[in-house]
Amino acid sequence: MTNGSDASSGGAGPVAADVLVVGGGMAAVMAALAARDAGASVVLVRRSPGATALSSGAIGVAPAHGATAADPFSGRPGPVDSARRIAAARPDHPYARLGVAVGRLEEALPFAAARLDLLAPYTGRSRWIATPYGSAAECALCQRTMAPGDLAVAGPVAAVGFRGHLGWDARLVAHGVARLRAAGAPPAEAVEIDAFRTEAGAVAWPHELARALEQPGAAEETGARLREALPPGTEVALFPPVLGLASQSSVCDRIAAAAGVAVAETVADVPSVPGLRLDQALRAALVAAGVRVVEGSLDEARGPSAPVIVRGLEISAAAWVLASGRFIGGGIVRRGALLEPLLNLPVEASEGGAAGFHLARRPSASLTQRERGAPQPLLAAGLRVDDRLRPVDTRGRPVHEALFAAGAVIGGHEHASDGTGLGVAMLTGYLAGRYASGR
Amino acid sequence: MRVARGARSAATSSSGDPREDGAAPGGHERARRDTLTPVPSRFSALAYLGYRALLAHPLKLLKEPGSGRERFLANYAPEGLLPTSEDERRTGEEASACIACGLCDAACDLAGAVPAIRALGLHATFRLYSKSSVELPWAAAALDACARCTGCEGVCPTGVPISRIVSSLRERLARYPARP
Amino acid sequence: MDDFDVIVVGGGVNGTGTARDLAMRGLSVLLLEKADLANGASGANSGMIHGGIRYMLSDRHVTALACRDSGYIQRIAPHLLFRIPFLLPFTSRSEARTLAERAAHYATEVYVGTYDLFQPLKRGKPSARLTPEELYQLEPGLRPGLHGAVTFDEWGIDSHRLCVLNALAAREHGAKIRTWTEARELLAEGGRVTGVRWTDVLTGESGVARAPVVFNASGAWSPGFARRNGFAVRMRPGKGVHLTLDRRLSNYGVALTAVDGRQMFVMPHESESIVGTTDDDYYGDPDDLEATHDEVEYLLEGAESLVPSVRRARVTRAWWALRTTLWEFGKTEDALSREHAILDHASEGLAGLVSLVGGKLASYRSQSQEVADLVVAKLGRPTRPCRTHEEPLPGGATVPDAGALAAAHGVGAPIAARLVYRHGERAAEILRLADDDPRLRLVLCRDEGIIAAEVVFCVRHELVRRLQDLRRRCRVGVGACGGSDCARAAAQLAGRELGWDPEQTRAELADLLELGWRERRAILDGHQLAQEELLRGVHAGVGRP
Repeated sequence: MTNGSDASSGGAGPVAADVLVVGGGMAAVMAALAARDAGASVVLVRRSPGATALSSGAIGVAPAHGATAADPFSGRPGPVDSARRIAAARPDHPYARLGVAVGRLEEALPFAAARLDLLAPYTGRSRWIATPYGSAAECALCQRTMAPGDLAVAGPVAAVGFRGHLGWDARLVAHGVARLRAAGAPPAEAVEIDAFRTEAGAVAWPHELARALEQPGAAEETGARLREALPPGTEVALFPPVLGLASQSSVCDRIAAAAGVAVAETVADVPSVPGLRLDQALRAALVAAGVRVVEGSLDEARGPSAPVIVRGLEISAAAWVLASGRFIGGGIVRRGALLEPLLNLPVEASEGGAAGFHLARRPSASLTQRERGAPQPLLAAGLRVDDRLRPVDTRGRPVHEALFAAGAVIGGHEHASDGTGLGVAMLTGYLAGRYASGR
Repeated sequence: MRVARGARSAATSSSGDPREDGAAPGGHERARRDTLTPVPSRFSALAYLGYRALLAHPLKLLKEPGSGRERFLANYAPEGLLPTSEDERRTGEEASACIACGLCDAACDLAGAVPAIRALGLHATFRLYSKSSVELPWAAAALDACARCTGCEGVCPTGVPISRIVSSLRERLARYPARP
Repeated sequence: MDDFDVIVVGGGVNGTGTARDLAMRGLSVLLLEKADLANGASGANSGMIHGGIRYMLSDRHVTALACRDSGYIQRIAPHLLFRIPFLLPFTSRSEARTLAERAAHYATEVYVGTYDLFQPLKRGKPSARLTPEELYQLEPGLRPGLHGAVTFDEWGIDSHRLCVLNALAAREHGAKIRTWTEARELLAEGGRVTGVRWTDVLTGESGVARAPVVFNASGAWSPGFARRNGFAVRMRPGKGVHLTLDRRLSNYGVALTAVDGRQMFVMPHESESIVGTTDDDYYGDPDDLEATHDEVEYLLEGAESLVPSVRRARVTRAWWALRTTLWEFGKTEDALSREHAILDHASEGLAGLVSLVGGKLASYRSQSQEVADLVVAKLGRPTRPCRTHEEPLPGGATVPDAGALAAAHGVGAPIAARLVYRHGERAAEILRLADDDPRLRLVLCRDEGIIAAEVVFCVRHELVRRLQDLRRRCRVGVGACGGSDCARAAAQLAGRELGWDPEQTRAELADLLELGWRERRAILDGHQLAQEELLRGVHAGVGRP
């Protein structure tokens, strides 16, 4: 990665923009794109890839609450309905804080799909994409390479493992899909084809496999092997999420053409090739939209009222969007107590279902529950925002009229327990960008 | 109810070995026993320590060559158990930010490395290799594989100063005794 | 199941050590463990084969015994030990030392100097007296104002593997080892034990095993086991909590004093550091332990009094166990003896039943020998003599050169070094698996240096029945990243080997992650919290329908 589009133009004079976005993940990029779309000039300061690059690569907005493996996919509510239900049930969730604006998911989802060309179009309903764990992730948006594997509509599936690649177990995936028959998933079988081998022997890393598959002829050869191995009647071949490292990669289509079936990927865990692709697509979208990107970290700032200096570049902007992430991105940290390190905004945590700023000082054991899978308030800690996404102080008033927050830096949600991670980032990013640009 | 307490259980021994003071089977270390065994009570233990404090210990100090630090390092440095400088500790603290996400691995193939090293990836530098300076010499080949291109700067989501840590580990390695 | 000479209840170090001894003497042995080997205090201790320097005045024979046995453990498992030099800094209340403090420091120096007499028994290095300047040269991380130090030498060990190796050795000598099998009921007739009714907690299968002698080595679970079966084992279980830091703060351990005057330490252990330990009477359920915030703070506060950088270090886990200290009334926890006692329950109408209480990890071998001697006496039958101090534990006959292994098998040297540390000469066997099936070269964990072949080997040969057992065989899911890298792949590998269906594979994975979570709840802070966010995101798929 090079020094972004701008920081290298050292010696440049002060930069003035309408909107400054802090962060480099889904929320930040959506904010920048939405503000730009509304006509604002935008500078985005990004230290590194964030949690988005480590994500599964699909965008879950809101899983249907309480659905079991036996409930038919077709009867489950769509993502926007599910988001409204979450808002109604959990007043601290960002979807609830937004009030009626949660309905603007209907705008934000197609906007994201249009700007990030690796995403499949938004259809108004959820897709169910298999995971390497043999479960299914409910997504409002997914990458084009995943869409043919939507278990709600796919025909008979073969989970295709690479022999020699121990990181993805076709049997586990096939069994998981088959288990969802009652919900409407297709029948599934597991097959293995010969592993991609380099001169070094079996390839182990997902990104190495992805690169190997991008080599000339590799996808076609894989497709030919797949054709031989496929059980009769297979309509979709479900691959590990390694079908090309570039967001514009055609590996998926080339394998499909050579094999004569539809080809899809599952979502990923870490290290996540689809996550890397998503990160690439975000950066490409910024460039395409004319957002000025400054690579560097913002260590000291006072908010929209004063200019900041990043790598010697002075930046001032009338409105700020703070999309600095949670613990991975460093937007929220805990050093004995939870805090927001950049602007020292108050951080809210919850305990026993009640949220409060004073809880940020509670011991970590008090902010967690014994059962791992339960919602963990410590992991959902973050800023509290008003209905215009402005962080509020301990008395509930916006800290600054033109300071907005988006994504995981806002508390009250946690992807691992409520499945709303990138959906919140996308919606709050989109809205914060609109609000910051004055629309 | 209690038939034996502590090591004073020679009565139950079936091996016929008179295991006074917990001596091990087979009469090993018999020569040592004289110095170790005759301590039947707290009083004589204290008297023994008094003797050591007033006589034996000062004599022992007289006989020892070199300073305490020299003797300490003579004991431990050959095994790689070297002191940790403030600088090394700071490097360790920076490396501690690594969450093993692998983003640096995707950004750097360690293209110059043999497959065994590539299989470990760049992030092993901050986790596996740098955690113990005693084990650092094992990572020599891996650290050599870095081409110092600094292309990894800026890919770490938690802000690990990747290339700085690699160079710091290399410098440390250069000061090291031979492999453990 | 059928008839045995002896049934051992408990798969800790005393149970496995005794089973090994008895099996080596030619007796038929059944060992029952209701969870996994080393699941209690035998695994979650400070991981030291120390010579018992603190007992040198009060229980001097304990020191001698411990040092001698430390020497034997080095002989039988040389690969599993690593040296830990300790600094014992001299502190004072004010800038200048009082006369009394000077005297106390000299007494400490003499005391540690006397320990030197024991060091040759365990291949230890002699102590050294350090001036303040020398101390800060060797350990610049110490707080200012110290008056020098005296040093001493100890050994660290992977205590989980010590138990596992003892169990494997017992099995090689014909013992039958059943993990995840609970001894539910003691069977007795006419004032004598006759056997045990057991239940396999994983399959639900149950049965009866008969033997004239039963050895109860169930540690902290002993009082409950006794109560249910009409006898008594009194002890003062003491809860001990340790913290793990993600890396070595230093190559030297520091002995220091906690806020309440108790002895504590910060020490390098393998490639991490350990801060220990607490000691509090525990009256709760031994299966329901967790570290609390208050225990974590106690340890950090004590440690930072001499090693301030502990507060900046990354704490990765807080873990716990119950010491099975001998019962005494009116003493503080710390003042309780660390000696062991062998209880014969004949007077309670259970002739043939023997329990062990207390004792130290470092002396497990001689404790086991003592119990075995007693068992042999009870059986009244001639056996072969004890050889547990001579015959190597599995893999312990020689320590191969890791560099040569790495070169010969084409794996990274750090990987080979870890394999040699954990498996001794069996490291070569593991690498041969990887030669035969190159897929098994897959590095599962770049944090701990674990390859797929090691997981497969452990599952095949080391009494693994559940995924979490691999925590105690080869540290799967134990390192700083909590299993974000290795957990799913390890589950898949274990599942294939053990024939789990995908449902069970997922359940085992969830169980493994759950155990790690419980060790981190009280310490989540700083970078470890970012790690937790990643880990939870990575494994979000485990819990989905």
